[in-house]
Amino acid sequence: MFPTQSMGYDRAITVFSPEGRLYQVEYATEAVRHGPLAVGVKVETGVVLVGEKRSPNKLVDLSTLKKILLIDDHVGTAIAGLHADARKLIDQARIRAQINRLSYDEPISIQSLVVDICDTKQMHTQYGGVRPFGVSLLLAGIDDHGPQLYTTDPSGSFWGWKAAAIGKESERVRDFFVEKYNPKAKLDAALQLALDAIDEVSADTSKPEERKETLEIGMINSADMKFRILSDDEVEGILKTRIKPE
Amino acid sequence: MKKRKDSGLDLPTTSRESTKKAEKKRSLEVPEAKRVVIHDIGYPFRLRGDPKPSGLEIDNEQLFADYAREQWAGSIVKKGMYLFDRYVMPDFAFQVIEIDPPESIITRDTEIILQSQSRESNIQGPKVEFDDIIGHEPIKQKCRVILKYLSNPMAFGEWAPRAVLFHGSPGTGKTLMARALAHEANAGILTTKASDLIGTHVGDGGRRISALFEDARKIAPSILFIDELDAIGLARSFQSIRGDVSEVVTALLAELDRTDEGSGVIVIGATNAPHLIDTAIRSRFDSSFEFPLPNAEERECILELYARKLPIPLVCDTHYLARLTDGFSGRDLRDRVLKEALHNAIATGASKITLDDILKTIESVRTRKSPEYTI
Repeated sequence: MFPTQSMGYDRAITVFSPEGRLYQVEYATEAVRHGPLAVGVKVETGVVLVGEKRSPNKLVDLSTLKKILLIDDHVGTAIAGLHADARKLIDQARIRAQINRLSYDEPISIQSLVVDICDTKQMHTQYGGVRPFGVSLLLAGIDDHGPQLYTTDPSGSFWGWKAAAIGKESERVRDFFVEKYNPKAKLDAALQLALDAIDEVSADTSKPEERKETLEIGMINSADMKFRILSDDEVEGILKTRIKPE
Repeated sequence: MKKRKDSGLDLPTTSRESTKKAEKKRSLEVPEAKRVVIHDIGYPFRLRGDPKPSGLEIDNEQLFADYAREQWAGSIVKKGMYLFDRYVMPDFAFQVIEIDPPESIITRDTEIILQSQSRESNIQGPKVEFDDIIGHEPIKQKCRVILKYLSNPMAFGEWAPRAVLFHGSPGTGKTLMARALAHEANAGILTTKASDLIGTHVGDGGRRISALFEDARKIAPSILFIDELDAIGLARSFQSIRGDVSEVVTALLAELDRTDEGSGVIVIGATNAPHLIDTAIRSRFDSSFEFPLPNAEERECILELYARKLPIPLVCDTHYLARLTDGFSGRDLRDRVLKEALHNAIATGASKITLDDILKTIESVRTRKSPEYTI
């Protein structure tokens, strides 16, 4: 009976509220906040991505659900939000990366890739009859400009980061990074920092044997410039040898 | 207010003012009262559902004294006795709190003084201190400024705090904060629920608001706490739904403007729907504070605070529990998690509350407000 706060300005994505807001786009950003956390840390010698996933049911085989995916040899991404939306974007990004290789015979620069993804996202905030993508991507890769870490959000804007987080509790993780981040650290230390960040906010305190199911790690180092998603056994090994900070 | 036909100077022969049977005879023995101090008590009864009388207002003390003398002349009074005003239906009662000499008769020369009952703070519930409130640091800071202002209203000049708006989700501590402020402040506090201010008849609302602010100014330095402000400060666009509210809004605006720097009155409004409040009213509040839902650390502190008060010990890791209860407010944690778990434990005769009990409760109360994505 009572009109809501937005007075119907959230009915269509293409309608601004009198304060200049696009409610549907903000709601899509909210959807991202309900996805489990993904964090990324960039150092001079590479980039690390770590992501958590949540099982909707005990019987689900979590290895079929990917939090971190490969876009091209030199770039990978972690996602937070609606994973069907992410799939669409990642398919497009993979094709874009291959087109670049065929056209120019060189790997695509990370920024070009991010711009391409964000162009698609932006289009879904300005045309009638569509809805924004309810997903954020955290891209990590290495190109001519060195290691890169980018986030893209549902509005189609993007930022480059030294250390970033998307998804649930990402604000707290960002605060954590502000305190702990060290650009001179080694890649191993970056991985530990990323895991510390996840531990800082996660409710999951299970043993490494189970934890490997819900945790994914992807990394790229400047020596071989290949983005690699770690296997379950590698994740378990890292978790087992890890000294948790108190 | 009916006037009785037979009222006036001729006093009825039988009277509830006791001691008058022997009046004729004794009047010679009883000395004349020089000075009587009374205070207002109220009606002997109140029809259920009728509003409580909100005190007396005397504008001309001389006039009242004359009026009272005319009515009670010839009565023999003692300390503690009731005097009834017969012109009001039902009879309005006053109590004698001081009389000189101790037992004496009211004459036309008696000085009658009314001491209006000062209304006491009507804050219910246990005393709360700032330390009992977890988080909300910026708001506490503002409250400390308010305390400073109340201790010396003139020091701030035109920069004095005047009105503060608290808003946020239910159960995040808005009322608790006001209670704590009242407790810490050495000032009077008037609390009211906005719904009480609307009244039955058109015109009641405005009058009640004026009376409320007048009371606050009278006992200044004081705090006036209006809970559920959205009920009376409704935005103009919604006033078609409650037409009479517009009069209340206007009264509120006028009164907010009158509580200026030197008045020593701080108005605190609380609401969980700030967008429903009229923009003109909102702009009268010089600062507004959001009460956010507690974060994990605050939830841990809240859980520990309440766990200490539980009659059955809570045996589980509050740190872990805090992480599981994302999106719960302080009240949710107390009433929907801990209380439920406690009741379950009592029902099953357990001697402690375990993590399993709590997990079961959380699972049953968790409303799926937010979607849970897998990725």
